[in-house]
Amino acid sequence: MAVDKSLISGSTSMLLLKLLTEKDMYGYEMIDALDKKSNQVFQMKAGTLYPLLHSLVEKGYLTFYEQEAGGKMRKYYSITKSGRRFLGGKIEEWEEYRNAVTNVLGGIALCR
Amino acid sequence: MQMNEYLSTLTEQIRCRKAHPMIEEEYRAHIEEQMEDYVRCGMEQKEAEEAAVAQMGDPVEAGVALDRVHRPKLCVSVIFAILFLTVVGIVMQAVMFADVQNEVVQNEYLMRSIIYNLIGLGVMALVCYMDYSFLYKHALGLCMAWYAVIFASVFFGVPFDYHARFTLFYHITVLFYPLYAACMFRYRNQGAAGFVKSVALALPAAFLMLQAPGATKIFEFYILMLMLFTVAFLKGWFGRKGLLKTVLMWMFAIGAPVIRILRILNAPNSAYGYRAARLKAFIHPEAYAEEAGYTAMQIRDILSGIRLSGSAQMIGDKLPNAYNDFILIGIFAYFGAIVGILVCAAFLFFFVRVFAISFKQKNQLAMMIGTACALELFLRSVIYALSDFGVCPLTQMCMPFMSYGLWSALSNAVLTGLLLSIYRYEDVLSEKQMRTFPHYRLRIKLEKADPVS
Repeated sequence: MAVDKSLISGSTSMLLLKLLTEKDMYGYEMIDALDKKSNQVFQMKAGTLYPLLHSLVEKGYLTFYEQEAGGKMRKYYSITKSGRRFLGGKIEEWEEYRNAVTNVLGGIALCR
Repeated sequence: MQMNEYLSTLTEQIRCRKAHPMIEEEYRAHIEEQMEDYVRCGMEQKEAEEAAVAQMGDPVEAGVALDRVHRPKLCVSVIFAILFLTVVGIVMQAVMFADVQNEVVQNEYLMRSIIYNLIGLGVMALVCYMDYSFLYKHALGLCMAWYAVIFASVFFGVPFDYHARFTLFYHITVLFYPLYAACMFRYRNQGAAGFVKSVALALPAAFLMLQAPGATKIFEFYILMLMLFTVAFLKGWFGRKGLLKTVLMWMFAIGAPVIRILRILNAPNSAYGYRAARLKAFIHPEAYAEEAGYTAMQIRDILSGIRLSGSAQMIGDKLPNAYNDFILIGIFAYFGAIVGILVCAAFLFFFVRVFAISFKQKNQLAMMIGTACALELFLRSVIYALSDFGVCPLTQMCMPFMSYGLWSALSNAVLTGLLLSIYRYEDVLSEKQMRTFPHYRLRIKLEKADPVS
């Protein structure tokens, strides 16, 4: 199912941070993981991913290191303590938003 | 669109050219990985490249977003702290110059001080705008040049004037630490060999520092080396990350000087005689009030006269060369404790910021150079402040940003300029760009032989 992009864009940083709480990942791996976990709903372009990752690094929510894997030097991103705190706040905000939307949609359904 | 065309359009949007290699490398690796996946799925190389590039999205949009992140930055808060401390230092010097019974000092020194500080600020701006990676590229050459200057000063008496030689020695030695940090970075990941090379590079410097009059230089050197090696061990630069190695190093490091101090105190008639006298005078100044304890007694006298707000107490007649050696206690005595505490708070703010900047660097060269610069400034300030208030037996030389002198302004300018440069290029330079020699990738393309030919 095609999903309106504006619904996704505001929460992309939250999704990326959440992915990185499970394990450190490199860019290509993140796109793949996001694609699979969302049942192909969040198909992110790499061009959009890296600016977002770099801005999260600048803010101190992520850090990175280089490591060899399969004969290739890869840049792995890792979530910081401050990133985890930020993610906690974002998830709370999201829960509130989701509840509000569910309540409203529930109301609409009842009217029908 | 082909990969090179995509990368060129992407980087064209990023104004800071120094950031291009870091970004280009990451995007290239991504496209290549995607291409490999497509080839595995049965696509031709060219087709796979086009498909992988198409997957990347709009290069202009991505480039514009990256341009917002990768820009050189100015650490305004640190610059304000430096300017505030410099202005307070000049004002205090002006008060002290007026009190000195010497026409040259009264008429000329204030103007000289302003010029020296302006030169210092200019050098600081210059070093800040040059990217600090030049230290890595020329680390060994610069280190050798440093050794040549100090060697000439210690063994051939260059410059010939004792005072000029002493000042040059004192301030040039300060520059050793960032250079040494850059050399250590070169030797990292070489295990025990890297450690041995780092120690070998420091040993002649330790010997030269021992030639300085007084114990301050060697004390500074000792503590700084310990701190730099602690950081290197904890970061795993010479083998595995080692807390045990660090603890053992510190135990040995603290034990050796304690034994030396005890030997000095118990051997008053030996070659350590004057050092023993100074240490004893520091412990009981009243018993040596006419000799080695004179300064400590004068400091006690000044301290007892400090009021909360300005008491205009002048210290020039009690402590000679106060505009250089006793500027901090001078501020407390003349302007009062409130202004004095404000100045100390500005110093504290400065050090918290520069240590935070250094420790949070992802680029380990920047982290080590920043730590070396911040530690040097911090240690010098602490020794100066404690000596000024009579709680440290070491000799103070100059307080960063506040003491009078061109060399002092210049050495501080280089260290603070490097710290600002590290902050400035934080999101621009990557560790990979620090390589002296370019790394080439050898790629061999295997193709099946045409069966017809």
